This record gives sequence, structure tokens and C-alpha cells, in this order.
Amino acid sequence: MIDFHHVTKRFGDELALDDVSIHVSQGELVVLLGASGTGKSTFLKLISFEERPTTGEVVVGSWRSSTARAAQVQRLRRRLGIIYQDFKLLPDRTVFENVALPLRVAGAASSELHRRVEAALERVGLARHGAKRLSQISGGQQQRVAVARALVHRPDVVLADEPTGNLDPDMSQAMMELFRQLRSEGTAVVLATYDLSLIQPGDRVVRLERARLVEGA
Amino acid sequence: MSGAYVVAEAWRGLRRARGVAVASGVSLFAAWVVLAGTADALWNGWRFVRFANARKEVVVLMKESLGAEADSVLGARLRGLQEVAGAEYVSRDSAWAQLSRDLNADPDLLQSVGSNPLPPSYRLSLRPDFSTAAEIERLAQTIRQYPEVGDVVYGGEWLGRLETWLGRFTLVGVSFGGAVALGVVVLVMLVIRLAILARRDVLRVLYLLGAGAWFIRLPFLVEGLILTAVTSALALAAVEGASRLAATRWGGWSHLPLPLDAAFVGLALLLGLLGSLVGSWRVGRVEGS
Repeated sequence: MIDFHHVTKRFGDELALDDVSIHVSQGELVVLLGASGTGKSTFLKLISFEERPTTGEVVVGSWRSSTARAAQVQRLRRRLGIIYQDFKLLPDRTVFENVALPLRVAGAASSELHRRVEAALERVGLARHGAKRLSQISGGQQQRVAVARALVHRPDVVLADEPTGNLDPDMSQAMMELFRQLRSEGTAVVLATYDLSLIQPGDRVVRLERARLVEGA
Repeated sequence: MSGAYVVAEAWRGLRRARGVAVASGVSLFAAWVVLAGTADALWNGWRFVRFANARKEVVVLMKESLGAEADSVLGARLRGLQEVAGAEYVSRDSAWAQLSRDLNADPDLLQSVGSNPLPPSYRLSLRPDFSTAAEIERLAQTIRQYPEVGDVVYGGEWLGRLETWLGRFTLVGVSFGGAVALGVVVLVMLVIRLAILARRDVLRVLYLLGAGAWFIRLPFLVEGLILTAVTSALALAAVEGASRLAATRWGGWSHLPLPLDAAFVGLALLLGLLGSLVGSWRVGRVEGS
């Protein structure tokens, strides 16, 4: 599903990732551990082709970072569900409209869009909040809106950058359960976090240390 | 992508940049008023010329030596011309009687002429759709070729001059209109660029969700179309109001007919679309690719 082949990423003189190789299969949950600034976000951005490797290649499904052009990048991103650290929600829209965006981009019919958005909101415990504006809900609820938006179009890959950062411990565990459920449904999940308490036996754990990837907690 | 979503996005964009939308709307309204006002004035000018030309009489003077049969043959030929609505025969005697009536104040002058020198003639009235100076001159040249015809005269040289001047004004008006239209395109382009800047955060999210170029661009195109449609329709309404006022002063004055109004709005939409297309040209670029 996801393959990093000797990927190195530099930002000027700064080395973000150094000769990283990893394979993530369909239906696998990978927890990416690392302190702040160790390159976790860069790793996720390389999967969504927001960044391209300086050397090496990233392959996601049939898309290759070395050859993918604009239209292919668009198609790839429609198959990803991304939860950003800063949520990247649209503040002037309702919860429902935010969650519906990936389906609108994919051109879903109105009835299907409504059904799927309601199901996604139900899944993250925000079933009755669809009509609210983002300013009317808490930071934790906004994070769950971001999770719902990442799931609503049934992506092949879910990328989550600190997805529990604004959630209380109970809700954090609930979200992790949701990600494990996605794994069992065949979705590949890559989750970047610094929180060791989220890991459970059976999760694949990799660490980023000095720009290099190390297997295991 | 649903049309309702695109229109809602466009409307949201206009509301979000309310100040820019109002300022550009006022400027566009002013531009359309100038264009529609110019079009209205030219339309009425040409209507007046046609009206005056349609009432202009073409007199076909016949050769002296013709008999009654030749007269009626010529009459039939004249009535058969597509430009001619009617042809009234004026005999030599009728023409002399008319001249006598016209010069009643000076009978000595008539006596000095002696016998009746006037030829018989036909007075032609023209169909309204054949009434420009060029068309009348063409008709006169055709009739002059007939062997029975001595000469063709028609008055109204001043109308010819008016038509020439109106033609020049039309040229100036069209050039001016072209410049204003270009200004409209530039204005809409700038408005759309500002709208894009104001919505950078939204666009960034859409890029990251895999939105295609047209998904992102369409709301901006619709935004340009809404702006131009609303402002041009309001401007036409204002110009029509002014036309009605003018009609109370000058009876013959009238506003552009409905098909031209529709064409005006159509042109406005086209310019709006062009401006929006240019303004949003680079917006479909995928970030990070």
C-alpha cells in the first residue's frame, strides 16, 4: 500500500528524513513515535505528496512520487483521509459542511452525501452537532470533526498527525479504537504521536530518531 | 459537483469579501450605465434617421415625350421595386397646379415662364426597412437607368450628413464601449484575484482534499457571473428609467428593445466570465505537486 524506498528529505541544510525505507500494508496500523520536530509531519506529508523526497521514492498504491503529476496527485488525495494537527477545518462552515467536503470533491450524490456524513458524525459521537458552526463547539469536538472528515469517504489510507492532542484520555482511547476498527476494515492507518499511552499490543510501532526510522517502541 | 454547492460557494465568497464586492459592484454598475446609456443614445439616433428617411419622398421625373401607356408601364415597374411602398402619379397639369399654388404670391413669375415646363412624375414612398441614405441613393441610381426617367431627386441632404455623423459617433461609441468592456474584464479579474487571496485558507484545504482545478475555479467563475449579471441588470433598469423620463420630454425617445437588452446582459455575462477565467487562471494549480 505505502512504500518508502530510501527516502531522504532535506529542507535546505536541515535533514528531516535520512534514508527511510518502510512498507505499510493494507489493513495495518502504524504508530509513528517521535518527539516534536523529529520529522513525523514530514513523513505524513510525503505520503500525501504535499512534499516530494529529495532522494528516493514514495509509492502509495499505484502512485509514485517521482512521476505523479497534478491530476494524479488529486486522485491520490481523494483516496486519503488526513487528520491534521491543526485540523484544517473551514471556520465559516457548519460541522456537516466540513465533514461533507471530501464527498463534494469526489462528486457524491446528495442523498449519499447526507447518509455518509451522518454516519461519520455518529461514528465520532457528534451526531447531533451537524448544524453547529465550528465556533460553537470545543477544541476536542473540532478534532473529532477532523476525524469524521477523514473517514467520511472511506479512504484506503488514513494519515493522522497527533489526532488525540486535544482529547481527554477517554476520548483519546475511543479514537484509537476507531482507528483499530478502520484497520480491521482493511484501511491502512499511519498515526503520528508522541503519546506512548495510545499504543496497544498488536499495533506496529516505528520511531523517528535523528531523521532515521527505527522499528519498535 | 452540484450546481447548488457552486452557487452557494460563490455567494459565500461574495459575502466574505463584502467590501470588495460592493465597491466593485458600484464600479461595474457605473460602467454598465455608461455603456447602456451610449447604446440607448445611438439606438435612438439611428431610429430617428430611419424615421426621417422613411418619410422622405423620392421624386422620379419622367422624360417629356412619353405617352400615357409608357407612364403606366413605368408606374408598374416602380411599384415592383422591393424598396418602394407606393408610387403616386403626378401629371404635368397637376404639377403645374401645385407650383401655381406654391407660388401664389408671385403670379408674374408664372406668367414669365409661359407654357408648362414641368414633366410628369412619380412620387415614391419607401418601405421602412429601406431608408438609409445609402439605400436611397442606390435606389435612385437604379431608377435613373430606366429609359423613361429623366431624373430622380430626393431632398434631405442634411439627413445624409446626420447619418454620416451618427456613423462616426457609432464608431467612437463602439471604440469607447470596447475600452469600457476591457476595463470591466480587468476589474472582474482583480476582484476574483482578491477573492482568491481572501480564501487562501479554504483553497489550501480543498487542494489537500484532492479537489480538481474546476472544482476550485467554478465558484469564482460563478462569482464573476453573479457580479456582472446583477450590476448589468440594475444598470439597464436605471437606463430604462432615464429613457422613460426622456420620453416624457422627447416623444420619440425609447429604450433599447428587449432582445438588445438581453444581448447586453449576455455580453456582460461574457465579459464577467472572461474576467473570472483570467483572474482564476492559476488557481487550479495543485500545491505540493
